[in-house]
Amino acid sequence: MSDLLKSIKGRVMAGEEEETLDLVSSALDQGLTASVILQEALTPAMMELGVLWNRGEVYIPEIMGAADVFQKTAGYLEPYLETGGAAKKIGTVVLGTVEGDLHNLGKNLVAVILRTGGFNVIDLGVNVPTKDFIGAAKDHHAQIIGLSALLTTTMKEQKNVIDALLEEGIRSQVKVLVGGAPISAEWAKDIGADGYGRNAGEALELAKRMIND
Amino acid sequence: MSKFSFNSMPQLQILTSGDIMYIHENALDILENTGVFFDSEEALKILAEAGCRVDQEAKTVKFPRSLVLKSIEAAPEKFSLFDREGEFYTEIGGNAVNFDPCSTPSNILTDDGETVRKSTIEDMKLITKAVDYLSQFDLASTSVVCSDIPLEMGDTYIYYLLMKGTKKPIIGGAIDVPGIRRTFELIKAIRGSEEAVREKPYTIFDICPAPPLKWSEISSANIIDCARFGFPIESISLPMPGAGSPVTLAGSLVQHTAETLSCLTLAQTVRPGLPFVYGGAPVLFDMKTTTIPMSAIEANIITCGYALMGKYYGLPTHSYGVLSDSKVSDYQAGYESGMSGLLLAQAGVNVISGGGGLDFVAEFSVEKMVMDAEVIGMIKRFVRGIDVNEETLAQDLIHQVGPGGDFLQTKHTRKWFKKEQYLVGPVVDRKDRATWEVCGKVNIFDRARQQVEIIKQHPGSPLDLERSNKLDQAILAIAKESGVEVPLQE
Repeated sequence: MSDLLKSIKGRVMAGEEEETLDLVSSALDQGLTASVILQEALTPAMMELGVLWNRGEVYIPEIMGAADVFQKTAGYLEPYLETGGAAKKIGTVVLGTVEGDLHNLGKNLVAVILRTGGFNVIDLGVNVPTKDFIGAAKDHHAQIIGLSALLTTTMKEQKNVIDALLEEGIRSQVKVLVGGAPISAEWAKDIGADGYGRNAGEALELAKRMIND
Repeated sequence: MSKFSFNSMPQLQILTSGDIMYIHENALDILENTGVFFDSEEALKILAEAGCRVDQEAKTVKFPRSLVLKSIEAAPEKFSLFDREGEFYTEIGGNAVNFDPCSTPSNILTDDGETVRKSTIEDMKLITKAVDYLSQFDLASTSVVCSDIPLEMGDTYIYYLLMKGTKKPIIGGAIDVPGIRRTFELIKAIRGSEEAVREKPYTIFDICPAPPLKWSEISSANIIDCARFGFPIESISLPMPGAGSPVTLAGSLVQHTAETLSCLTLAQTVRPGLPFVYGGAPVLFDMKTTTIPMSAIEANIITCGYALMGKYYGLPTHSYGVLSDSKVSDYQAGYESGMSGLLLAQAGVNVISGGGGLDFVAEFSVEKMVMDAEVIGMIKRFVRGIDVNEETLAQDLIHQVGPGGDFLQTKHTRKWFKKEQYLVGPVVDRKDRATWEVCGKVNIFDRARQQVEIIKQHPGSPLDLERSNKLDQAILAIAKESGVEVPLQE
């Protein structure tokens, strides 16, 4: 790897947006292609952070910061990428916090991690009615719906979404993943969800597995 | 802390200014009219020459209050400690809190968490690695007796092991008369000259009276020798309410004050300006078991009281905390270590010794030391308090993020989280139950044991070859003088 690509990787990991963009623009000037920068600097940066995260050596704000720089830099490189190149997403996830629940922290975390992992994420926000999940999944041809609930009083909404998918006759076309503080693997099984992630890292692994299945 | 002043910083104040004056006056009265026993002709001679009324036969010294007050004035409010390399390390005094591991145990709790055996050189070497590795511990200490070293060597061999493995300054003691001189010789071997040893204090000596109001021959000689060699002294008066001191906490405080000031006065008479730490090791005399728990809440109250006396005198302070009388690293060990450490730190005690200690300082556990490091980290965070300024108040940020927003993705969070939060190590469990179960439901002792395995791989901070050889020669000379043989270390 060239020193320049190494520096870009380092700046992404440090969450330094301006420095990363400066380095990326000089890399383009020097004739490096956008897909090389993406594949040999940006993606390895996030992968290495993932390894460090698993070892407990980095913290969530650092991951979020790096993910933010990754998103912005990938966006900056978009026009330079040859069509159908490295920007191809591995899948689309419709994500939101269920109706009656205003908590967004965990859901945001999942959105960032999924995006960094290569997913196209349609974030519907919080207090999302069942019909909006269904509508967005249809409109965006999503393979996955992610449902977040932080309250014992709102977790039943996850079941409502699954029931609505059944009523519409499209349950088999989409995987449903659930998460949130009161949620457990047992609950996920009981309501007929396809999976439960204990945290954002698990959500990403789970989502990848769903796509590959 | 300036002399004869009251603290205005927010701090644990369990005595009023009036109480402090009352205890002060009574202690001066004890020193002047009851007197203190010194089992040392030399100490009696020095104090007689300084104007004390000395009864040679009874070996008691009655101190004129003017001499005591002059001695308090002479002792520095704070002093610098230097590391093994001679670099400035920290300042002892003010409200800064430093932690060091427990000293004096002769038993080690093995890694099964239950069995004890005599501690050895290998244990002391592992503790040296641990103190070097764990940043929460500010200072090293002569933590365990090495049963495989002849008694004639006193604590000197433990100093040798510490000096070989860590740069951190050392809190130590002498259990015999030659110990002070021998330690001086060891330090001289790596510092090059006597002046260099005196100019940059690298170690503090703990010296204990025998309550009530008695200094043994060894302790008296140690005070005088420390003063002559220029070693800072930490006096360790040991109130024992109901047995070795009045059962009332106030009476025990008077006795502690008198004993400590008698040590201070002897030291300052030999060498005015000698750094002196107003220390102690309060215990309770348990009326049921007749043991002397050091982690009884009453012992902590006495410390919080004498810390205020020390601060009134404008002196650095010390006590024992972050230790436990439990035999194993259980719930009692946790609460006693945590409560004592947090109380003492809030009282502004400058040196808190005890991490790793169990069973009335008879037992040391390296696993507990690793757990205590986290307790210390949290205490240090607490003592830092709340930093209030424009940036930390985050007014603009709250405005920008607004109702329902998310602070996790802001630069402010990224910038400040490591400063504002004490980031705990893997010993502390903060997993959700599902994750904890998936990870094997590992209990805290086992988590600590995993950390000890990492510490075993830590190289420590070895001495360079030249100084290492000089230190070897010094320890061999001391062993020869003692008529014993000791192994050299890398």
